[in-house]
Parts: sequence; C-alpha cells; structure tokens
Amino acid sequence: MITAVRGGLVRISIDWLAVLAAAAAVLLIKVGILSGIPW
Amino acid sequence: MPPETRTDTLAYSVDAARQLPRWAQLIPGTLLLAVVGFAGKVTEQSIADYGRSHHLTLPNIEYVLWAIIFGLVVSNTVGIPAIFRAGVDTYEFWLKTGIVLLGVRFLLGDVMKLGGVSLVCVAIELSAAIVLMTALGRAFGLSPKLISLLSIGSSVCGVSAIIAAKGAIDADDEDASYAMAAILALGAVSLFVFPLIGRALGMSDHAYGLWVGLAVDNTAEATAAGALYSDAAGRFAVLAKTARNATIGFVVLGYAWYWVKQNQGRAIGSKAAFLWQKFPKFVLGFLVISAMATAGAFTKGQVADLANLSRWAFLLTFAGVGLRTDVRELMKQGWRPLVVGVVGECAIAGLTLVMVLVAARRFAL
Repeated sequence: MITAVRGGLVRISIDWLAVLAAAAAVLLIKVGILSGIPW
Repeated sequence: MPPETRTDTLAYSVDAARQLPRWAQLIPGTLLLAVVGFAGKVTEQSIADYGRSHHLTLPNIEYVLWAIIFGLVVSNTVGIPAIFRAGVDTYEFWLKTGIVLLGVRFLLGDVMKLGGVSLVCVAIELSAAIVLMTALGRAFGLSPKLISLLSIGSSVCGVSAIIAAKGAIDADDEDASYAMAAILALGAVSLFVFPLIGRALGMSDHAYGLWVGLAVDNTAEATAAGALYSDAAGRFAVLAKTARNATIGFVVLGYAWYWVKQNQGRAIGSKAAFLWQKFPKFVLGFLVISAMATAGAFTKGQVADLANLSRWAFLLTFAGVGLRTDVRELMKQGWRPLVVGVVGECAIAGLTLVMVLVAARRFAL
C-alpha cells in the first residue's frame, strides 16, 4: 500500500518498492546504462 | 564523547546508527548480506576450481547452501549486532525484487501452463493443510487462534500469511511467534531434506520445483530449496509458490470472517478492499515483466542481464535466510506447536509429493 505521511513524504510497501526497483532496473537495462551484468 | 571500552563502543555505534537517516541505517546490514552471500558464491566456485585443478570429483554444493550456512553460523555464534539488523531485514525486499525480475525468464504461456496445474494442486493443498492442521491442533490441545495461525501458515505462505492473519483475527503475539517459529524451523529443515528426496526419486526440475512450491511454506525457503536442486527447479518453485501466495487474501478473509462470527476478530469493511490489501502486489510486477518478455521486448543480452540481476537479489535473500534464523529462539518455543507443525508438514509434504508425481506423469512435467 502507498500511504501519504507527514511532511509530504510517501510510505510505500515492500511489494511496491520491489516492483519499482525492478522497473528501474528494466529501464536502465533497456536504455543501455546497465549492461553486461556478470554472474 | 568518544567510546572507551568495547561495551561503550557497541552502545556508541548503536546510538550513532539510530541518529542516521533511515536509508543509511540499512547500509551496514545490507553490506553484511552481500558479504555473506558473496562468500557463499566464492566458496562454491573455489571448491569447483580445486576439484578441477586436482582432477577430483567433488560434490557441487550450491552457493545457496553456503550462504545460508554462513548466515546461520554468524547469527548463532556472534549474533547480529543491532547496527546490522535493519539492513538484514531487507532480505524480503531482495526476495520480492528477485521474483519480479525472474519474470523475464518465463514466457506467459509457461506461466499459464504451470499456473493452471499449480492452481489445481494449490486448491487441494490448501484444503488438506487446513483440515489436517486443525485436526492435529485440536488433538494436541493448542489454543484455537494458534490452530488458525498454523493452518494459515502451512496452507498459504508461511510468515507473511501469519503476520497478515494475526492482525485480521486479533491473535496474541505469543501465538504468532509460536506459529512463525514452527514454520521457520520446518522451512530450515526442508532446505536439507527436500533436495535429497528429489534426487532419490529422480524428479525432473519441473516436478521438483512444483513440489517445493507447494510444500515449503515460506517463500524465501521455497526459493532456496528449489535453487539448491537446480536453476530451473528454483524458477518453477518460485512460480508455484507465487500461485500459492496469490490466495493469501482469500484464506485470511475466510479466517477473519470466522473469528468475527465468534465475536473475537476485527470487523471487515469491503471484502474486495480486504482482498486487494492482502494480495501480494509484487506478483503483478512478475506478470508484467513476463508479458514484456513474451512480447519480445528484450534482446537476448537484456534477458541475461535481468536474469543475472535476479540472481544477485536472491544471493542477498539466501544470506538473510541464514542470518535471521536464531536456533536458540526456535528451541525456546515449546514442543507442542512444533510437534503439530512437524507431523502436519510431513503429511502435507507427502500428500503434495504424491500429487506432483501423479501430475508429472499425467502432464509430462
């Protein structure tokens, strides 16, 4: 759940945070900023 | 004033950590997850390199198990100093991020196929687990709310389901810790036992992954038990477990409704809002990335990059599984809930194994 809290900050659940982090990773990889990630 | 003794140093560092902004408090523990997880990966590679250079056939013990063992050793010997705890708790974030990114390795057709078989198995597993845990709990004289929590934990998704249900049915903290301890203790055992059974029965990656996803209750342990078998088994375990997680809202709603009828639960407003509130939202991210992969939105290199990022996220998760398991705490929880948990979980594992073996033969999994 995304909740607005004092001071205009937003508190976000771990589920949504994980989705946002994954979306950011997809974006960075799609535009080529992140590439050749080793394992 | 600067610290003078070791105790002063610890107190000083904890106080100093508390004064830091929230994001900065996460750094030490997250680094600890990375160090423990990476040590596991280096150990796996070092053993394999040693075997190759000395022409020895050594058993391949995956980094997953090393990361968990190293984490267990740290948490149960020196313990986790307070400064690391906030960061170690991020293991759940890494788990969910890893699952969302894992969507890139599933085409939607695979998700639908396994999802369909899984959903039928999940429905059977859910009903059997609830009936079995309730009967066992009553036979051992456990409190009704502890029985509810154990049933929810063993039928759906371990700790998350217990936490969700605790609020919904107004259960005591003590009952919730009992139920979580039983689920976590059994999850830890499953990491060692399930791969052995899978290998002994010669199960395919697909069938083994489905079994683990159905029988292991906590998502982190299910992911680890699957990955211990093989990379592919790990992916199928995550998919089956995710299908099970998606039912959390319905099961918790059912129990909340039951306890409201008994005048011992919290009143529920809109059922749709309740279901949405309990639904694991990261599943949506997994499906979106899977849909993008199906539509050909990623090149081969981009798929490899996203899959590798997912592996790094899981590496931190597996370290967290070991680091947050306190064996002494588990021993303190008393024997009765553990007996109910052990007997119930063994029965569920046996039942789901038979179900998966039948499904594997019928659907060529």
